[in-house]
Amino acid sequence: MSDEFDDIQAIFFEECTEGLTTAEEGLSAMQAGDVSAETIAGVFRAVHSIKGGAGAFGHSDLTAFAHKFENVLDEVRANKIVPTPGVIRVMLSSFDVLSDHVEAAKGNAPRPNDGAALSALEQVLANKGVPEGDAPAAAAPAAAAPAPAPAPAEEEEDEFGFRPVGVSLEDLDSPADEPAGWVVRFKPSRAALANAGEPLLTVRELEGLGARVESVDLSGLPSLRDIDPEDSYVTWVIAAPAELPESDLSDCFDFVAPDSVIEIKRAAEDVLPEGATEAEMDGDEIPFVPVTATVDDFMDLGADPAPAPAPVAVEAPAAAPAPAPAAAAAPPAGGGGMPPAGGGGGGTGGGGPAKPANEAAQTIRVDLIKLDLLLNLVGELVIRNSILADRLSPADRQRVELPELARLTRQIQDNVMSLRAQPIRQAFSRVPRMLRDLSVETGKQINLETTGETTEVDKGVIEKIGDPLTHMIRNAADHGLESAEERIAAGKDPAGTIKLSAEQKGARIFVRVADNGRGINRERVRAKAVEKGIISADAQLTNEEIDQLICAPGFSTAEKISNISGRGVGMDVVRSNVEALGGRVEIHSVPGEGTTFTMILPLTLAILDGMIVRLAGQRFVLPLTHVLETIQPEPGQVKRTSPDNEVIDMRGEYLPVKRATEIFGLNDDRNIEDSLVVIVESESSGKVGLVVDTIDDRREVVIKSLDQNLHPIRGLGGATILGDGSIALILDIEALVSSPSRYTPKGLAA
Amino acid sequence: MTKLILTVDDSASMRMLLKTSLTSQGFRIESANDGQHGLERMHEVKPDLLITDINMPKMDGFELIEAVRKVPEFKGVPILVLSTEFSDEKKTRARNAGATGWITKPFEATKLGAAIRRVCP
Amino acid sequence: MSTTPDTANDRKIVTFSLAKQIFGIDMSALIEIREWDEPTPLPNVPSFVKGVTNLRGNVIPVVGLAERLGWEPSVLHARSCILVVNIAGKQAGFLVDEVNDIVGINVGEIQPAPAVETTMEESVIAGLVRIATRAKDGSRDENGSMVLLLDLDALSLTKHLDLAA
Repeated sequence: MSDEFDDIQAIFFEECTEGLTTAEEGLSAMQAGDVSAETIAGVFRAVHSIKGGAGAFGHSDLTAFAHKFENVLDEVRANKIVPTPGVIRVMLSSFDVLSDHVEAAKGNAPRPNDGAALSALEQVLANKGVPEGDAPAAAAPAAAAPAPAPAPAEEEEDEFGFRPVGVSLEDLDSPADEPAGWVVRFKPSRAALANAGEPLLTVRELEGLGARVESVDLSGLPSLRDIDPEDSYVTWVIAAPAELPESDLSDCFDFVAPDSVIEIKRAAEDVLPEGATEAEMDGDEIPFVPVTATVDDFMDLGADPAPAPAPVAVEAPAAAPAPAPAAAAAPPAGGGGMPPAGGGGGGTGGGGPAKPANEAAQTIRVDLIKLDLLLNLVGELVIRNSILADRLSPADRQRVELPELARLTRQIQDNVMSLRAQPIRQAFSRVPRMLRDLSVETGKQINLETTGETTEVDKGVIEKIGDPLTHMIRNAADHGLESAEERIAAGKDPAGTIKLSAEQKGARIFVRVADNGRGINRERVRAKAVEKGIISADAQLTNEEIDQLICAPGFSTAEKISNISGRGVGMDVVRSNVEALGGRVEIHSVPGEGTTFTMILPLTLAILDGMIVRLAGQRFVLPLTHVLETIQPEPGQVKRTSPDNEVIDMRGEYLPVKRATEIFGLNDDRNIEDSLVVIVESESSGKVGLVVDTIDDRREVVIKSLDQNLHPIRGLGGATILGDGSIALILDIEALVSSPSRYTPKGLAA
Repeated sequence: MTKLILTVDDSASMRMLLKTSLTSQGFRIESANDGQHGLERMHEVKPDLLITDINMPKMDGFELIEAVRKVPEFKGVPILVLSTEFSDEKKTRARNAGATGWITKPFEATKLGAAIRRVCP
Repeated sequence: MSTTPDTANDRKIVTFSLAKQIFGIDMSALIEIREWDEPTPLPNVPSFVKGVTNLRGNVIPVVGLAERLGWEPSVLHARSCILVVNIAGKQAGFLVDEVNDIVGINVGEIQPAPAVETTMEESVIAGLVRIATRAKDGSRDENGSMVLLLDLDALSLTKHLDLAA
């Protein structure tokens, strides 16, 4: 059971995350001026659900805070509080505290200090929308009494949150010194029956408490032909033992519709209806008090809002302390129209069968593991398909309709991939909050501009860019942007801007964090790198190489360890995380104007179109996206320009040549003329010739990450399983040809 | 006979919590994730009892209750509202729509079971 | 000593030989035992990582356990095999000289490892336990033999290999 509970709770926390995302989006939209009912309702519902679940899982701090937050949202929703910018600010900071509460509930964080946020919410509630310091401008007319919140909240405490409804006891006199037995009169209303309340159950429940039915009044029964089977004509008079607490009796009526007649009184009370004699009060025969006031009177509720007001209680008889005997009672005030006579269902019964609302898109929650398994299987299917294509003659391919099979397989694959694709918004969603915090911590004013958040990316990518993104944002806020004073001195807007964007280009996704700050101080970066032993003092580095040093392991430019960056991990984590995903990080900086970090990531982590090549006899996969052409070098076409460097003459253009066998330390004594040179284009190093032994095949491969069971290896983007069950390693072209391998062996002092 | 209960809640965790706690008390549980879905499921499973949340996307609990009560076949099906809401105004609305009873979240499993037996013995 | 396996003994281990010692790992960590099959070599990894192999669609590293523990590399022979284990959610294959037996042990009988094994990182041995060994003729050697219980978590490949990455 507890495992099960934990599982469910884990789902609840997922829902919290979703709810928080929804709420933040809504609040951000409100901040941007969208205060439509729909937006507000969305935020309300999100917070409301969090509260509901939190209660169920016993997270009382979270419940209490969400409750207060919800109260404000409810008032905003009901147009009782105008969502002024001040109110929205309070809600945004409440949102942050709510997020912290969720983290605390997960056990990831200590309980947040929510005092300030609570009192800000209180103030909004009390002032009907004017938080301290906010312009009283659009203050809502003080229509209602103080916030309705606190009182019901206390009532919620009772028992297990079962709130008795429909029984109002306040107006009963205090019991006499010697309590007499209880007399309960119960006449279910028509509405009670319409709501599937079964009066006999209530009566039986009372009997279970030791009560007994004294009499049943059938006098209200009309003649048989007039009987409406859906109506209620019977009144029970029930005597209950004096020692029973009143609440036990009233609890039995929890589910009884409020317009039913319910009286719970001590037998001796003088509020007994007129017509009851002394003898009757003492005696064992309780006077039968016919109550006929509420036969049809409450049926037309839909048309008449009047009977609504709050503690809906014992309506007719209590309101008129002396119900007249016999059938004289008038319809109580507010009981409006009469239902159609003899109508089979009156006001509530009319409609035909409800329309099955099918048009709505349904969603189901699927375990990601199942999805991954499916994706793997489809990947294998694609591969089997290409193996089949290889083995069959073109005529046989047509005969078995292989192209059709391939097309279907491809469609399945695309569909499965799309199941995993999600808007990158999810990864972006925590940024606004982070920047609000950073703004407070650094004292800098920071504006955020986000674009491309609907770009769809594989869920695996989204999950893994969270940390790098956090570091990039922190880096931009902490190091990139200047203080307001510094910005003013530089003739800039005192508020800095961070632009967060995502866009898809081909099979890659570009995620950028751009600040308009001071740019990278290359002098300082260089000095720091020398000081930290990352480069030697005389190393010759281009500007770009200096910028790249920010991502070198162990590098941090923060001169004082700030709260935000400089925690020992930094941009090197960004680089290694992104590279582990088969991506890379680019840095572009202009002194005085700002710095842009770009994560370039594969759109999906799953499937790759590749060439099977051999290096020193071993099979590797070379991703086709990088391949420009393949050539068999003529003698003299590849020249050595230095002991370590070779170039290839491509129609007069000299391109550097790299030997993966050397980088990987494989034995290779093959003559260059017996090899092939694959010209690849890398984003960081341009065109490069890569020497391979031969090319075996071209096919799609399913990428299996090495870090699933091992760890990422530089130069490899993963591994794949070939048709014969053997493994081929996937080359990471960017890592193979790009600069890191250059400064690693040479510039490093260590 | 085992009572069949349809629970309607947009929160998966709440649905599962209900399912777990009520199944162990001898009820059979079907569930739906919003009002519209709930209405469809009513026709499919024809439960002995409907338990619904109020705040749900697409079709909220009030609308669901109203829609269910309009179906003659479901007139006699008790409907319990299970919600964190507790305002009397909401309760009145629910009653007017046709709800049988109201239970405020969070609930305690055994007491929820008792409440269910109260309306659906 | 009672050797009724299922009642007196509360934990099962699989024992194997490596560098003429008997080692044991917890049975619950064992996924399967497979024959040696030359793995696909990896570049830029320590020599004890023999490469990667395909375990039912998963790419798992194969580790020369002897080298990992600081001994001479195992010499491959007919009984060489790979113990596929689960370490903290990651799968890995360990090359061992020979798999011996699956035996029940009593947790209470595990003794702490004496600090004499200087060639080994002391942390990888979780403890020592004496087991009755089965001789070739099926009889039992009542003196039994000492089994070095490996702490798989301490062997965690990622921890060690990250340094090399």
